[in-house]
Amino acid sequence: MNQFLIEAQNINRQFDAADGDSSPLQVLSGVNLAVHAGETLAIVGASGSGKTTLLSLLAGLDTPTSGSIRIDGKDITQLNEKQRSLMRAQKLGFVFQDFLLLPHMTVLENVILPLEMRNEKNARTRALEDLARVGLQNRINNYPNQLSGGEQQRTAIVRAFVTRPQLLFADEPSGNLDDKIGTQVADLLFELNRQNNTTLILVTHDMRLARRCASIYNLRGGTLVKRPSPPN
Amino acid sequence: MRLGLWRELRAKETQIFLLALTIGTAAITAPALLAERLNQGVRGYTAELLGADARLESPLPVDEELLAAAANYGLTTARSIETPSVIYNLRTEAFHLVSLSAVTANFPLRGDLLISEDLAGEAAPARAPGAGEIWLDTRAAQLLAAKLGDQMEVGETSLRFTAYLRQEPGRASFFSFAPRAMMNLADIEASRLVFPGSRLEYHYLWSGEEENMRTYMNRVGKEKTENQELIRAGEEDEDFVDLLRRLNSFLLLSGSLTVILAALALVLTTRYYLDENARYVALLKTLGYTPRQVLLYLARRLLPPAFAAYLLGCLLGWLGYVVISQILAAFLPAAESGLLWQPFALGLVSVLICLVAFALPNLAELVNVAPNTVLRSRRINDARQLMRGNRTTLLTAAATGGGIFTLILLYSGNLIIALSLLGGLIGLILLTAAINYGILRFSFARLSALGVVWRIGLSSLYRNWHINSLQILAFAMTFMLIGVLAVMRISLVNDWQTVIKPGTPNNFLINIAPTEVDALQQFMTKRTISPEPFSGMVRGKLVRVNGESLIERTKRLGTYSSEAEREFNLSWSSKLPTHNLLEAGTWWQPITTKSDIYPVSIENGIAQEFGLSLNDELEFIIGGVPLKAYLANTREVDWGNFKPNFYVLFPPLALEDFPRTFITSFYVPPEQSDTLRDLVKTFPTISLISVDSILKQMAAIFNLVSNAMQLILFLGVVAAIAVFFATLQVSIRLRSITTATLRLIGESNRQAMLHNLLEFCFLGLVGGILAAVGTEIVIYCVYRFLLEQEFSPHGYLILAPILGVLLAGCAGFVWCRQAIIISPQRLLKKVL
Repeated sequence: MNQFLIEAQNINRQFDAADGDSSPLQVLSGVNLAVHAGETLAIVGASGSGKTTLLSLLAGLDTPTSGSIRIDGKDITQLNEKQRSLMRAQKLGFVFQDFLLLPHMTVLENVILPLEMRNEKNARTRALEDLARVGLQNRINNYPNQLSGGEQQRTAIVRAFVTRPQLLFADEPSGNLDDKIGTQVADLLFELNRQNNTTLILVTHDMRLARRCASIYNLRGGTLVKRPSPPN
Repeated sequence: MRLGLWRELRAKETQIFLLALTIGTAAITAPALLAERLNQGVRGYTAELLGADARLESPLPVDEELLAAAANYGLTTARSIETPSVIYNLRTEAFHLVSLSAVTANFPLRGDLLISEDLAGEAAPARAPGAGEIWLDTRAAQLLAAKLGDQMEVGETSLRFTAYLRQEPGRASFFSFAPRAMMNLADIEASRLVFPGSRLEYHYLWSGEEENMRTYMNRVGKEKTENQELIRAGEEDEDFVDLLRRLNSFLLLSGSLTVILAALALVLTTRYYLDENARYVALLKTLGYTPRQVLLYLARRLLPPAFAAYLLGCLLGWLGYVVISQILAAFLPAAESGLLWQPFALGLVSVLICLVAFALPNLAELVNVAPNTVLRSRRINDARQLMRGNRTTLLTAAATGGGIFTLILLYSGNLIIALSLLGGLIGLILLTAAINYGILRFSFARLSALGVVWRIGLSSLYRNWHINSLQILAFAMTFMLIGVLAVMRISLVNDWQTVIKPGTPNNFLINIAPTEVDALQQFMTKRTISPEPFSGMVRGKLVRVNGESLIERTKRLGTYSSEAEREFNLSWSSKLPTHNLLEAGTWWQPITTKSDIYPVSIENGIAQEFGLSLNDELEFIIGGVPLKAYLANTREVDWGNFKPNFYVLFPPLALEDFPRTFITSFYVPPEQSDTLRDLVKTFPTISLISVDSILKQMAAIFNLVSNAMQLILFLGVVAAIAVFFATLQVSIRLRSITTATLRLIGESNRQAMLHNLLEFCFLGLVGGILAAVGTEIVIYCVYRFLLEQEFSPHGYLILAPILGVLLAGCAGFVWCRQAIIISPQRLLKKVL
């Protein structure tokens, strides 16, 4: 019986060269990865090493050139875009470096939205509760451009967790924030992860953030190598 | 920094900006070229009808110095003397009063003078009669019982009848029934018809290059006296004046609306350019660039591609013009002066105005971007910030308004049109913003509860209502342009078709004796010809009004003209003719008993000229017998319907004792032309007047204008659709980011499609409503103030909102389908 929540086998991803003449660019070569439910995992690597590409593949936002990726036992590489959308809606959450909040919606509306899309009851109450937990109760009627970077990312994290996803992907969640705010955001991310028992896969070049995860993988030359477990 | 033209051209924001500039230039140049050429074409046709580009009519000879000046402008001059004169046929000893023209050998300067050697035979073009010759029209020939070769006595000279006069340019009107004769001006002296006190009218005709013509006509216009009349080509006939006015209005309107559309597209795309380059400029400033250096840098980046876009726009405009000219080749005469450079200059000036008015304020804003934008800017929010009020917004708005006003003024050369359209545009912007905000506020409060799709769609529209208003305005303008052009074309073509519809009478029969009516009707029935009802007429003259001589009266009122002295064809009718409209008074009840005074109905133009009021007592003289009447009503008569019409109508009983003749009109298809020959032979005393050639010329002009309008409509639609998509493009990035983000947080494809469709359809709906209202207002103003015609609402404009929803919905569907078949991350990568 498969015990992994997410399992990637022999993933290859190559891109056509920009000039169309040169040989294709091989970003990932035979990547294997298996993650248990509730585990936290960091993928680190140099700029341009393919971290975000791997995250995209794992989250079903991109399709590998070859190989398979299973989430909860289902091969997502065989799904069409509609089926993947459904899978994302049911199981996944995302946090991005650029926050990606909807500019025409207030903080509360941004957080309520994923619940409403799932037709969940008491959406407003749940959103308000989660926002209060992260100290944004006084900012619920503000628009994103009226918030600081830290507040925007906290809103984005609440929005990602409010549906209680099984799996959360975070791409450089503190990349646009200063150290202090970045640490606060990371605290929040891990705190919510712990409370909700969510599986967390994050991509970062910040080793301090990576070390807070249970396991760290280093992406180099297109292959993924597990680093020794960090001292607890 | 080296200029990377190619790199610049590859940037999407530059491409969109340049596309708008190219389309704008093409959209301005092509109609301008076409308008210039069409004006030449219509001038040519109308000149053919006038016989010249211009004609001066004078009761006395004109100062020779003024005439000599025409040569200095390179103009050709022809002359004629018009006089009523009795002609005597030496062979048959018949004589009759005819309207005689004595013309110079180069008459006519424009158009065809047609003659034939047979009464109804093939007519051939000719120049003026030679010295010693006289040409008679069919009626004069019949009245004089003349055959070719007969000697005719004209005044004190004798001229040989050498041809039948079939068609002559410059004949006063289709319904001028006086028999006509034409001789050479060289014979006028020998005739001794010109003597002090003789009733003469001197006609001076000119033709030549338009520009020189205009200059010379200005001089003639200034020097002419009150009793002289100057007629330019196209002004002679009311139908053509009307036609020209409509054509010019149409071109001005379509051109001006296209200019506004192009300007709107430029404003939108310039803002897009600003948005895309804000961080780049901020980066330059962090590198130490001064605002002046940034401005110079941006100018160097933009001006070469802008000039290239202008050239490309000119080329496209010219190609469009060439294609249209080819299609219209059969109608258009050769261009008067080779290459028409003015439209290209207009295009260049327009591009410069666009750059200065629309791009410069935005560039200034870009130059003043704070360097820390490079650190703080979140591109996702840029679009929202784009339309926010700031210090330069007022300047931008003022410059944009000023630019649009200058462009329309430049294009139309008409201050009223420019002010009206600018006012209309500002009104439309405010109306759009108000309606959009009002509807959205209402909808958001009430419809958000319908579900998450409604909430997403409406919140996006509501919160970005200022950006959406601009888009709706562009949509509305797009639909409005199409709507206005389509409605005007449909309306004008319909109007013309009612005048020249198939089967419009192309022949008139006059001088029909009462005893011939039955035989003539049988003749026509046998040949399956359906004539208009036979109308009786009696020649008579109005001599007194309320006891005062008509001549004295009109002199006293200052409206005296030859009309006051002429005989009218008086007719009778028991009811108002179908193609007449009662303007004042009432139609009479059937009159069954003789009376000393009868009611009379008079055409409103003549009634005004004679200063007549209802119940005025009028005295007519018919064959020396007086007939008293009172003015019972005035009528508006449609003179262009090619049916017998009359200035004066009596009850039937009033004219029953006077000798009368009858008139009718009928249509004979070209393949039945032999019928006319038979008719003339069978009824030699009846006069046949063919207006076929005039009808054909009118039909040719109507076709020309109709085809041209269709093509202008097509050009306008192309420009409008381009603007429509340029506008969509500007909002695509924000939509893509929103759609991708929503999908990342769980929106299904169906929900994504629905919320986007909701937004697009809403934009189309409001745009369509505004377009319908705007179109109706513009059409109303055009009819009311430019054409001075009755306006009736166009019910089918209700389709505009439906069409708007369908078009915008289709565009939204196509875009959204592309957006949801790829992963949200790829969508984000494309736009971020």
